[in-house]
Amino acid sequence: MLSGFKFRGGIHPDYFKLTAGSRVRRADLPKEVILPLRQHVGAVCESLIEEGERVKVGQKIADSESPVSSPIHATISGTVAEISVRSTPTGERVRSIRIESDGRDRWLKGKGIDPEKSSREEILAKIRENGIVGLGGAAFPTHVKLNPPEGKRVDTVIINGAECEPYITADHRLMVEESRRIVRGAKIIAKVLGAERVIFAVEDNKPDAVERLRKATSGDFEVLALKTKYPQGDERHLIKAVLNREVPPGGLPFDVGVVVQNVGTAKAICDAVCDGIPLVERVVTVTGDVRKPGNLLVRIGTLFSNLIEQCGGPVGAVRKVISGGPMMGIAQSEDVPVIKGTNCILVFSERRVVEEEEMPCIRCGRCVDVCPMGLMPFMIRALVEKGKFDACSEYDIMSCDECGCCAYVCPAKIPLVQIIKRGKMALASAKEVGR
Amino acid sequence: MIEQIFVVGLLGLAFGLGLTYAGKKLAAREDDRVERISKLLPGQNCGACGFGGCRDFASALVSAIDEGETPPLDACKVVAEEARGEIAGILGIEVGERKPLVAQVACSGKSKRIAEYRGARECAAADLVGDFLACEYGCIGFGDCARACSFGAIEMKDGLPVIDRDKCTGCGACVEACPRGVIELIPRDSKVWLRCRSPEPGKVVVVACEAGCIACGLCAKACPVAAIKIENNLPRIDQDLCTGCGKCVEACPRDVLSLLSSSEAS
Repeated sequence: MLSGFKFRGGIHPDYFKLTAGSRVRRADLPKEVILPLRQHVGAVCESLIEEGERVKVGQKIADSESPVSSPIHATISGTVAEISVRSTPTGERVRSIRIESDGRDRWLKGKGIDPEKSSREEILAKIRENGIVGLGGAAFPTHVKLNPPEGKRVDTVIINGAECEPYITADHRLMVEESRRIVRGAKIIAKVLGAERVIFAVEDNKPDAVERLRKATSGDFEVLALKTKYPQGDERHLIKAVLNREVPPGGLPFDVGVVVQNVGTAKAICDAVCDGIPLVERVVTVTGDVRKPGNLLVRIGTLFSNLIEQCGGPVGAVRKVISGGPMMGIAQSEDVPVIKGTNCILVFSERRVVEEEEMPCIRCGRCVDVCPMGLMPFMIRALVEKGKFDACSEYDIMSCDECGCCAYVCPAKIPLVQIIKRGKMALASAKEVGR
Repeated sequence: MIEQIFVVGLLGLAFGLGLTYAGKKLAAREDDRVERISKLLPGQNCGACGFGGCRDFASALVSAIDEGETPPLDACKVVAEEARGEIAGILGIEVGERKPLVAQVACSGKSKRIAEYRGARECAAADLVGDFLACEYGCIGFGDCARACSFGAIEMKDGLPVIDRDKCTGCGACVEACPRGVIELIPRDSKVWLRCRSPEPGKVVVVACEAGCIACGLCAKACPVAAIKIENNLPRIDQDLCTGCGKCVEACPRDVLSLLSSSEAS
């Protein structure tokens, strides 16, 4: 079943889904974890514990009173060794809690509720309390996303299994192996939002996932196999491809009556609501130039170096370690921990990193062709470099999702996304000071 | 033939007279103060004052006076002392003396590099992924400051801006341009220059940089006139007390202090 709709632009990179066939395996229990006090979009949490205190798995160790934030839980049992400022995979420096394991993995078990018999508020409270955030990468607090502002009606929930970035297979494996729990999570989401329609959207390069989901939904919900194209996993484009509805610039999916949730988030919601398990582990694809690439079920806070080691270590001299996929991921300069939004650790050695020199823009317009938002990246770049930020906003720079299609196709190898990002930052800070 | 020439000539004359009259009658009257002030301003149109250029700034000064506000004269840091006095005269305001400023680089560019950077060769863009430098306060070295300088006073040498004090007017455009705040404006008569601005404690700085200030406090101890205090893990030098004796420079184990002579092009 195809939706028959499509979104503008986009690209077809080589997918390199090396780990599509490898079962999720449980990573070794780490000796220590580092838990940044912000792993989500929103306010930094306040630590609820002191150095030297003993904690159990699932114990809430940090929380915030801000409406947009999500609590953090201990992911191993042991002693709080240190609270200090450290780097995170998103390139920020945030206060982080380091826990040293006692090796015993003792849990503080929560209680689940029956979603059928519980109220909307009870379910939302459960989701918040268990620290659920969007696991597709952006890590937006789920209880906020499931609570549309007054007056916005949501008629459709899309469960996002597109996973359009090359290399990443974490969601793919989850759909194959945990399809029942994903469907249960989807039911909870639909109930909370009062949506009639639930659509599972998967790209057609994952036929086994489509089949499993069809079986698990047993005809209750639609499962769409979408024609594969990057960046279909971006919720705006997914909504366009599935429902042919366009989210207005600066608007949110609420505005067109849709909420999109990642498959991993749906599963985490099921764990949190039905069993009272907080978000302490997630599936991470460790791939690229490692000896044994695979999909690992990882305790949040495990260091990248530990996981790369568990996958047999790097092949050849490491040139780049990326958190996330090759299109939108962030290259790391230090050893950082897995956080809630980390879906992939990508290791590139010498042979995959091609050094290319930037050349002048020849105005070929390929970036315009592929931009899914219909922007003019070459023009925005020229304006940013001249410091004309006001003009940038006329070219709608803020609509850029930083998907990287423009930089991918640019024959002059101009780092367009980076320059646009800088323009967005400059514009945002100019607005802040009220200029 | 004659008639046509006559008619067209007459029409021309009539339009000419009409336009001359209209031109006189409807002329936009430019305040001559604006004209005079813009002649006194440096005329580089550097924009550091926050206005479109020198003329724009001049008319802003005049309209401020007309509206009974304080004219933002000191927004222009470039204007010469004498001209500044004359402008004040035209505006009919009193101005006190001001201390001429000069830009100074608070980094010696010796931060360790913990990763390779590849991307846009622009400091503001590189700062978004700035953690390739071990010191988050260190100079990135792609020269946004040099491009921002309207006076050609900044040259990049070995990845660090070098400021020509003779050309620097203290306008502050480079300070604005630097995404990390590495460049500071200091009084032109300062005698000691601090080449680090990392407020991190010594043990962090030692790891991150070969030359950063570790806040050991030897400079403060060495100072005979007690002009140095350690604040925020950095020496704060009281330029009024400082005699420029150079004892602190000798005492510094990390070479982050150096002496400035007024003629020296740093």
